[in-house]
Amino acid sequence: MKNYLLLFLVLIFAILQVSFLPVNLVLLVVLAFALLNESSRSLLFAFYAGLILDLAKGGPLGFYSIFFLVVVFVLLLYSNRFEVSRWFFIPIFIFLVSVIENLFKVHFFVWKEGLILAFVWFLRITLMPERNKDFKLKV
Amino acid sequence: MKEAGIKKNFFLFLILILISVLLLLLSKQNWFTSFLGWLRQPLNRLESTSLSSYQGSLGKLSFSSGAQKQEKIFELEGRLRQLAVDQNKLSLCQEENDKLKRLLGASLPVSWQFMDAKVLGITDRIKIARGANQGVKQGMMVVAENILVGKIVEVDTNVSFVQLITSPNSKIPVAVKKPDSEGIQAKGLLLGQSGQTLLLDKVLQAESIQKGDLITTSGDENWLPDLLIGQIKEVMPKSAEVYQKANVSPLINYHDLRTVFIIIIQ
Repeated sequence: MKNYLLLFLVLIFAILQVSFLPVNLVLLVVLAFALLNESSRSLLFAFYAGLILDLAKGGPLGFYSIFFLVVVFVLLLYSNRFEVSRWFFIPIFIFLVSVIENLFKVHFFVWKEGLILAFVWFLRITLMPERNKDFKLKV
Repeated sequence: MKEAGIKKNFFLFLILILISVLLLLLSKQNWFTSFLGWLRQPLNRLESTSLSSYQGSLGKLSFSSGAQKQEKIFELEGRLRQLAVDQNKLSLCQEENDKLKRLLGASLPVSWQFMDAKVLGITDRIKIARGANQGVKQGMMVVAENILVGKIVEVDTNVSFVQLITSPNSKIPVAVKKPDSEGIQAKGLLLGQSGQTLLLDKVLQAESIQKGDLITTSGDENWLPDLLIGQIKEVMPKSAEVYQKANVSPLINYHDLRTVFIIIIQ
């Protein structure tokens, strides 16, 4: 899919999650993009996705850009040493990232959102197992 | 090769982080206020439409499964809320009347004004279509049907964010009142539980609280006094602890809100 179409998808997800969805769907798109594309493109995508989410959420620009950039970079560093295509790694990673995001956002330990996001990802890899082989994430 | 790749990515990462930090600092200094306000207008409209559609579809879904039953529940819930509001008003009026009788010539309570605000989004916080341009300030209280919704925690140009009383980090000093009598029954701290429940804590064991008692703000710690919040659903069995606890159910469903009112003190 073309990058601008993906950014449009990010915009739609951002609007949905700002209006009523209590989970960070944009995080899933950013991670999926990072796993399927080259790292420099992933970093740029994380930056733009963060700006779009900040724009939709209101408040100052830049918070989610920094957050997504750090998440993608950590994933990148991890992928240099370890295998990321194992079925359990990304759901656990998503859960942890979501918990950390909530600690920043509401200064409280919220685990339900992370669990939902991890489950959504798990569902994705169960329904489309062949896509897991496409994971690039190479420096 | 791999080292060079890491270096290149690290460099790109640093540049993007620097740009983000710069954007964050500049927007905190209100550099992009008018530009962002203009850019966010269509997004706010989209968010409002999206929320209305969601609330509408939820309504339809519940209507299709036992429509009459649901309608009756809504009606009764509305009546119950109104009753609680009326009871609170009545006891407040009685109290106020007594005080005025005693303190003739004393100053009247502060006058409150209400500013309506459309709800744009409801997640862990409520996003409303009123901001600094309309005179909204951080810390202002937000109500719906005279029931406390929360406090404004972040103000942008044309939008603001309300921290719900059900938010996990919400702590409100409250008073417990009997529905049919005047005066305060007990004092405590109302804690958000993330979801549609609240926990009443720090109520002394010596104080009597029971199911059905009304919870209002006590007016401490910069909260406005006598704002209705909820009703005690269940008092937890007495234990060896110093304080007793109770589960409190809010009088409104925050996810159904479409318009709220910001209290402005003149």
